[in-house]
Amino acid sequence: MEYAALADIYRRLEATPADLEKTAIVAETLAAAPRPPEAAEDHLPLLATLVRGNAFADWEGDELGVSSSLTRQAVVKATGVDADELDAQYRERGDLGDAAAWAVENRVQRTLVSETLTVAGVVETLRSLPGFEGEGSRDRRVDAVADLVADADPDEARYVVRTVVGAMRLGVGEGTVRDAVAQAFLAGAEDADSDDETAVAAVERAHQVTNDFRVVATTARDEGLDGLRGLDVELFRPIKVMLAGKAEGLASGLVEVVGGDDPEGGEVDGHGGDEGDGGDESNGAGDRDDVLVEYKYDGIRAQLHKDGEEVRVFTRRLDDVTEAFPDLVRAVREGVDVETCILEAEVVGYDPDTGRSVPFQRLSRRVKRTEGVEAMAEEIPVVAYLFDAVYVDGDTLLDTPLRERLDRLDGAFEATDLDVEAAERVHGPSDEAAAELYEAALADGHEGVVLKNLAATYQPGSRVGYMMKVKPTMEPLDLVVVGAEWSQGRKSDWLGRLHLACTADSADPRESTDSTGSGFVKVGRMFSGLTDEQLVEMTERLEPLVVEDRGNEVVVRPKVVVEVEYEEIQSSPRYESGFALRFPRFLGFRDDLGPADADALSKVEELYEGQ
Amino acid sequence: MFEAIVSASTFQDALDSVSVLVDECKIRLNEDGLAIRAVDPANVGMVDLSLDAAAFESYEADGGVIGVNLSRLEDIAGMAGSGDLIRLELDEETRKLHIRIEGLSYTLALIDPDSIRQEPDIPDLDLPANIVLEGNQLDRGIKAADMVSDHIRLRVDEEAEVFYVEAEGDTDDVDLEIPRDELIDLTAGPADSLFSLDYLKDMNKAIPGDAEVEIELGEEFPVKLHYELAEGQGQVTFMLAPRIQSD
Repeated sequence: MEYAALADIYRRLEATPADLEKTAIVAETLAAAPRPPEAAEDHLPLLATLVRGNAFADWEGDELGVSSSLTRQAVVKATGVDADELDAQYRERGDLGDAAAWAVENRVQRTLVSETLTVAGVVETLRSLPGFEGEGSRDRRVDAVADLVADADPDEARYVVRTVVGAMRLGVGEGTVRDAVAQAFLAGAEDADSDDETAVAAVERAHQVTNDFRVVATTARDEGLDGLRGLDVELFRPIKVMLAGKAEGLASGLVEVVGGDDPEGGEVDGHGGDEGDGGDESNGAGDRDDVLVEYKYDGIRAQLHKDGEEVRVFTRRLDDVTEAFPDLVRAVREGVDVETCILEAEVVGYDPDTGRSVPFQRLSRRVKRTEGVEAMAEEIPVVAYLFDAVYVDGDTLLDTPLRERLDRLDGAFEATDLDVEAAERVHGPSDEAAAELYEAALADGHEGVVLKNLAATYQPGSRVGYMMKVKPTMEPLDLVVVGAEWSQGRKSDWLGRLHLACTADSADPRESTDSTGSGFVKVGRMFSGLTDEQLVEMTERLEPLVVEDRGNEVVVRPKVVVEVEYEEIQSSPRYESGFALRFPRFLGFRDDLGPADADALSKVEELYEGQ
Repeated sequence: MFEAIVSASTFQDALDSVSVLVDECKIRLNEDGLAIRAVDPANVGMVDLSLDAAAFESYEADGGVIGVNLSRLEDIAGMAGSGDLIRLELDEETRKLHIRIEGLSYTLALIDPDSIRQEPDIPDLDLPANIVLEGNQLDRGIKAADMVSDHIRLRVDEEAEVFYVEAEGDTDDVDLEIPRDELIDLTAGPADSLFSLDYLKDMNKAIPGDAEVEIELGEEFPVKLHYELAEGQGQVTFMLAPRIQSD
């Protein structure tokens, strides 16, 4: 299949705003996927992920590792256009794919040979990208992408580049693919009791357990509904984890998590509420017996897969980090005594001398480590606090209530000293007992608590109302905007990505508020929290302050002060301050403050030490 | 099988001509010599190298293909002094290349040739102008052009029988004029094309200053550059696609 045909499909998907039509286009694409003998290979597995712009299945967790700046280099290399002109186009169009299409249209460099891009060829190249490691790997990624763009026509270049940078903008979500698979392969199945709804439910379920639309689509095509129903969780193919909502506070959360009416209107982010039915009866107060309160550890959420002696560790983003945690692998081998299982744990680092847990950011140094792994394991050993079981000895427990899953979990391991332990938890606590656990968690240096509904099933990938975290928010900081980047997509006319700085303690910032940032040190970039109106206002305020235009990015005179909340302060070599805010969010303008009144680096340091 | 002994300078010159375009390549170990053909990722520059068996002190091969990481191989070859000999031997079983230089021995892991980009077909071009000059003359033009611009224009004035190397920058211009009597040879014909200096500079780096370079040129056509290695027992052809002339 030529890539041009797929580019055509992408164009049609982009052109229609209607979900039903998108579903129909995807269904038609999947149904018509070429396969032997017509094609050399079955294209359904390729198209099943490509329709959402992915070269990998969800569970593979691989990232292509090509930033937009490397992609720009590749486009320049392949077309010979001027880099500044490409940047200008990128800014004007707000999309690197569109800019790449422009570059190919206006190429100034001819080529010696040209090959036709094929779907299989593009996938092969994309899948090779994460494998480039070490010295020169960036150049090799640039070359590989340039290789694709060099052979592309403008439309092909648009979608190849969007795939590479991971921004398809087609409005095709998991739900679209799910419905499309049902429509393409299960509509009017011979099974008499099958209707659209059962088909969609079967596909949904199959995707939850496999986390792989390649498998789901080919199974639906080749084996129908029965085949889909036969799919199950497999070891070493991680599933999406269930996500927690955020409770307004402990009291309201305790009620809300079991479906009670929250008197204060607690917030659940994402979709959620009672969707999926946790099995509880909503009676205004909820059933306290169904409430579990558990430590929310300051660690790495891990999915542990075990098959006999083989153990693999996946992060919540489904990256395989087994190699970085040999100590954890040994601990699971030793402590977990069922033959096969998939358990969930919060992996927490601790200080080997004091036994006290260390903050996440210290532990995070272990995650991408490839060298000196054992030494790091000695420096920052870990303990796995097990808190859920989704698969034990052949039984998939997704539809099992949490209460029983915890029984299976408790039966699956022997707690070992500081290696594998059960998460600290209390069942059906009184308000006082819940508060005690919350305070104990904070006192132990953890984030807070998670509230769970013991009657609820496991919903992979969903942010559901029967799992909610409660944690204190950090004291907001007043920071100065010293730079900004043009937003992406719909908001590309606005400066939305703000570079935030605090005042440096060493220099007196009052002396230098008119200069270009001396006296200020960056502590992070903020992408969220601004409404459209605020974006417009921010842009209007910042544009007259621009002192340097670097294409996608501007440097501004430090003048605008904003109030910012965030989850945590991390130590980071990325900024000269040595710190970076995790998930900063805009709270409001601080017009009452001048740049010199912004918070100082010493304050950031103090908050960092105290968290 | 493959076993050969070659002078370090010949081997280094040969590798240079390929490494300016690609990081990895296939090497064909033909019975009558070694051959490499590669195109850069953007399909803009191409190299076709052959090193005859006679260019080696000794050479034995039976037609296999190996894949190599060029920068590794260059680094190893760089360990040799110009008068040294490099001994190469392929271990078929482990798919490794043993390289020995004056007591130093190095085992290079090879790359699966199938994972390396396919060798390109060489476009069949009949280019009207043919200019033969010294590597040093071309080098001078390219260096001057590089001071003002990122592209370079090569052209022939048919009537005056002059070869021009020109570059136009935003503010400054460069113009190198080489009349027929200063060239080794000239077959005048309609020829005027623009090229990326990035590529031409890299290719130029690989061309020895004292080499005789034959340039084949047309109007908005790719340029071919030929030169010889190892006293005529090795041949290199570069081909470079033109830039589009906007005005």
